[in-house]
Amino acid sequence: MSPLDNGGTPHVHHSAAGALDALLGRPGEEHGAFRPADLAGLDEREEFPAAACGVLDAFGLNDHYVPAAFGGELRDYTDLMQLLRTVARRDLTVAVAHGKTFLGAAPVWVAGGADQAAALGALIADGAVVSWGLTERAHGSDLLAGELSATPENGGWRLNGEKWLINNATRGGFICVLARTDPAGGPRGFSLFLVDKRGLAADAYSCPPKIPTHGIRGADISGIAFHDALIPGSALVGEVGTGIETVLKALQLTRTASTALSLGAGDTALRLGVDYARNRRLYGRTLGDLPRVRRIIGEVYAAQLLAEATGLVAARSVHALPGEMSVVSAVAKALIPDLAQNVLDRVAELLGVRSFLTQEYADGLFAKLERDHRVVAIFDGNTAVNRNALIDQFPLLAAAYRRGRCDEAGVTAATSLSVPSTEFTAGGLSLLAMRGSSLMQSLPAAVARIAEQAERGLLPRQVVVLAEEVEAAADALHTEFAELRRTPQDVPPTAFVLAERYELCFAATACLQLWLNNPQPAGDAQSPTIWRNALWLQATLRTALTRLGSPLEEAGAEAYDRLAEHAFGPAVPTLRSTLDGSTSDGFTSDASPLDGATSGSSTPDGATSDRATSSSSTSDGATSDGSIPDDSTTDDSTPDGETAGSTS
Amino acid sequence: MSSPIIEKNNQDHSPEELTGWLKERIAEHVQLPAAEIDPDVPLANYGLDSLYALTVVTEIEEHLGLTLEPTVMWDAPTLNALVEVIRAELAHAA
Repeated sequence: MSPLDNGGTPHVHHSAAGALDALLGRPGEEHGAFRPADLAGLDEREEFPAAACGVLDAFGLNDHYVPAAFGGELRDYTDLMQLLRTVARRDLTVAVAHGKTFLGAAPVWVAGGADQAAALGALIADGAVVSWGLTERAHGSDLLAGELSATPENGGWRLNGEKWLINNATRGGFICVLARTDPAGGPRGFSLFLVDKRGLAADAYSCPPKIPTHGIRGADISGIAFHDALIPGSALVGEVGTGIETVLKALQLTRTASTALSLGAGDTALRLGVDYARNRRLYGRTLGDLPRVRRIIGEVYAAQLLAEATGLVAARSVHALPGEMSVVSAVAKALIPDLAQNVLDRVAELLGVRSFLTQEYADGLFAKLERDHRVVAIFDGNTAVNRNALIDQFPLLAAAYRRGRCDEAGVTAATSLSVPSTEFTAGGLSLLAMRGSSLMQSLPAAVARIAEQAERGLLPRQVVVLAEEVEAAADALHTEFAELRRTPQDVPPTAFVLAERYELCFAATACLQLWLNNPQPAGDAQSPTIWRNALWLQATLRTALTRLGSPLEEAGAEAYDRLAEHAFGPAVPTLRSTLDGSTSDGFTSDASPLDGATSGSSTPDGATSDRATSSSSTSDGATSDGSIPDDSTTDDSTPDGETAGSTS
Repeated sequence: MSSPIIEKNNQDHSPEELTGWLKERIAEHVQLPAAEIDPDVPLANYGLDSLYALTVVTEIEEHLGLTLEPTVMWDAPTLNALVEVIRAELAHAA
């Protein structure tokens, strides 16, 4: 890659995402092609953000869409997620427009021949834009109803028909097209073709005009119609008849990666909310001094951390638990956009009328973000589609949970963020998670380990109560799975409620395993991190349980208030940034002179200043056992202590 | 879980027995009397959705202890074809 120096700091970055973050610049000091006011102007005029995409091209982002085996830089799907999240924080239209090339190429990574994949990898590294043609005007996301046909002819194929509502269909030089190769259709009646538009006769295809959309208004959302278009036999991806299977597997990768769009949107919404609370003055105080506002910030931040935990574990599961991605990707793509939308909605309440202003407040950044995310949430499969994919697997999830099946090594690998991921091989993907979800099935063991840590004084007792509530919710849920009556034609509405509960139990388990399998950089009394006293874990578990409808003692809600303190620092810490020991992946906030918002009475973890910090306060982290400062001696007086743990 | 189903695992499965069991399972999914399911008609014709059909392999696994490719019902779309695949796999496993 060739990082363009934006006059930014010459840091050595831990990750490609850190380097990209520095290149694109902090809020208020954005790279010239990423200034919010200019991007808002493009959006208003429905113009494509070509300059911003050019910056990403020059950075070498395309290389990260290509697996290393095919000549690129993609070795870890977490890195791809963090890169796309970094772009999405600035602008969702740019992220969608540029990231689409990964989606278009994914079927080739899954099912293409080695030569075909390497050739596509070289083209992408060279700047090729690849689109993905699945949906049709009359059939929406019902892939098996697709009418676009491919007929064999002289060793090649003749394409006829139209794909519609396709991102980059007009701009893209290449498009991966799902075509009916058996007139009778059926799950073996479709095949995939990688079409090189440069090789088509001028009259062999046409692109209908760009389709106006509510959000991501500048994106090239259009379509492509083939008129007796002849393509070579080498365009076929995989075997004839494997199109549906390949698409379903590729979607497991692309839906996981696409959650980065919602993570980035949530990051920015949170930052805008914090900035507003910090800078808005009322009666001689800032808004952020009001307890009600701090509570909202804490709750929003916790929801965002829950989304991040789910996303990180999903991305790592691509490598660690590929055979379970039919469950994991559906959980991630249903839950994360939902959580992000909740973050946006709560911040909108905070901003009040400013959230609607298209120019007067923060260059209309929030209003645009809000519009864009509504579209992005349905991009690459909406929540209902993903919940349906989970519902189809309820019987096997119930059986696997009952049996306690668990790939323990896989769970450890999926949740140990600082351990390099093993190489991903597409052969490990499966249309069904035959063994259920190892992560979910690891919940009872994780709760036992949490209880053991608490026994040893390494964890506030309150966390055990929360963890046990999660286990109770998961137990009840899996019993209900087994009892659910459904048929192929009749999915009862309650099934969608159960799917949502599954997602939340999964997310909470992801948090527990992340806590257990990572060094816990607690910081010290002066500069604690969100790991100290398992603060982020308490807040995320509570968020999941609240959404699950579990009864919780009100006193524990003050974990949100303590978490909020961390949001008012120079950057809002993310799980990833706190583990990296850098702020480069944490989204920098525009630290202002009004920064004093951390109301002086307590340190961010709510500890009193004379709190003992003996056991684990080195900034480079504690043991993997997760030592925490010995709160056990002062539990009675701390909000996270025994007294709060006495709930049912 | 110890049930008569599991205990049957290691026994021989005659084609008739397998066909009868599968027919009942599928009839329940598509909510038709088992007698109305013709073993040579693609199951999709009875409304067995292609993606939903994938999960039938998990029932086969539970019943027979036999792990099949999730896509087996795509490649063997009728009852008779499916029974043939299962018998071949059982013979292979024996």
